[in-house]
Amino acid sequence: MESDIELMLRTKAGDDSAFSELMNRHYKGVLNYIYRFTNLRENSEDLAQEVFLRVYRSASKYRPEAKFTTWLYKIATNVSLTHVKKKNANVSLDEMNENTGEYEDSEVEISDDIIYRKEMKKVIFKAMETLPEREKIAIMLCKYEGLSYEETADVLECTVGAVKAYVHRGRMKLVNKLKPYLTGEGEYGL
Amino acid sequence: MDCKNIKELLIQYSLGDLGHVEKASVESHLDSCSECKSYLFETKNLWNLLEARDEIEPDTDFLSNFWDKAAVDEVKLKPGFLSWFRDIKPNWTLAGAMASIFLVSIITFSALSPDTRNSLFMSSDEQDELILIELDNALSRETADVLSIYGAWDGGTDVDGGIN
Repeated sequence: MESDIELMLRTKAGDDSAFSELMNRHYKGVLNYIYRFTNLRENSEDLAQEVFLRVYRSASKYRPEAKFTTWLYKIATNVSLTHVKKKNANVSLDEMNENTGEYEDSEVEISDDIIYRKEMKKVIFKAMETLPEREKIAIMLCKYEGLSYEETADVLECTVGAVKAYVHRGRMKLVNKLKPYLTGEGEYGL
Repeated sequence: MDCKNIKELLIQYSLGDLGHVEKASVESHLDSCSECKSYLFETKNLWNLLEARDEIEPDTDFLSNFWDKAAVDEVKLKPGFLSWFRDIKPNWTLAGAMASIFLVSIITFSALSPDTRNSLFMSSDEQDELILIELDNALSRETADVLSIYGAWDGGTDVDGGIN
């Protein structure tokens, strides 16, 4: 299997099928990263397309110096941050929380499990939103996207030690905020 | 180590990032501290809890949508004939400022430049030319005076009627 870098170099040489292959590999990851970042399902698809358009546009200038995924997630982070900042000027957090990303059908009976999952998504999103930007990004990249500390450090343009500190501090804050859901004794305990 | 220090190490401990010495001291502390033990349980649970955020599936036609957008994008970005001129947008503020600077420059230049009509000094070229004419005249007069002792040059009678 060709590496991401090889595919990107083929794209640079004008082979669009190589870029389609790259999208097949990474589109879902970027889409979900943006979705978790913004909590807005309908915008996530447009933003993911915007990320790949930016990558495609800059393919002619691509130099295989860093891992492709760190470059990709750096762009995805910038696109998400810009969108969230623009959106926050107009939309309140409550409105964002209301949009849980699911299309509801009042005719369908909603099971307890679905209600619980919806509730948990809201709670987690709210808790993540309270974290400082870098702690939130570090946790999202390490936890959800499976990036290593080194790769996350490249995305955030900081040291590996700083990333570890961001993850650690963010995790401690999340433990405090989500305590009722973590003990195993509360209403939502696991 | 106290509970605060142990809590700092618990995430690294749960990830297996600690060295032998630190790992041993964390484990001995956990044996005797129920608070830290439950904190470790919570941090482990947190990572599981975060899994509760669902994943979404891409649109089935995400690739064709992308290539449609890329094609539109390419047309927009391609420089067409006279596109440079089309892209120029008149900036009236800048134009006004440039015109003001031009006018002020002309007025200042006119006010500061010397009026040559009433000046005691002429331009250097004219002055040089006059000096040269004057010198030439002086030399001609001097030569004529010196040669006058020999009488007229044409070999005939001089102006005074004398014989050469």
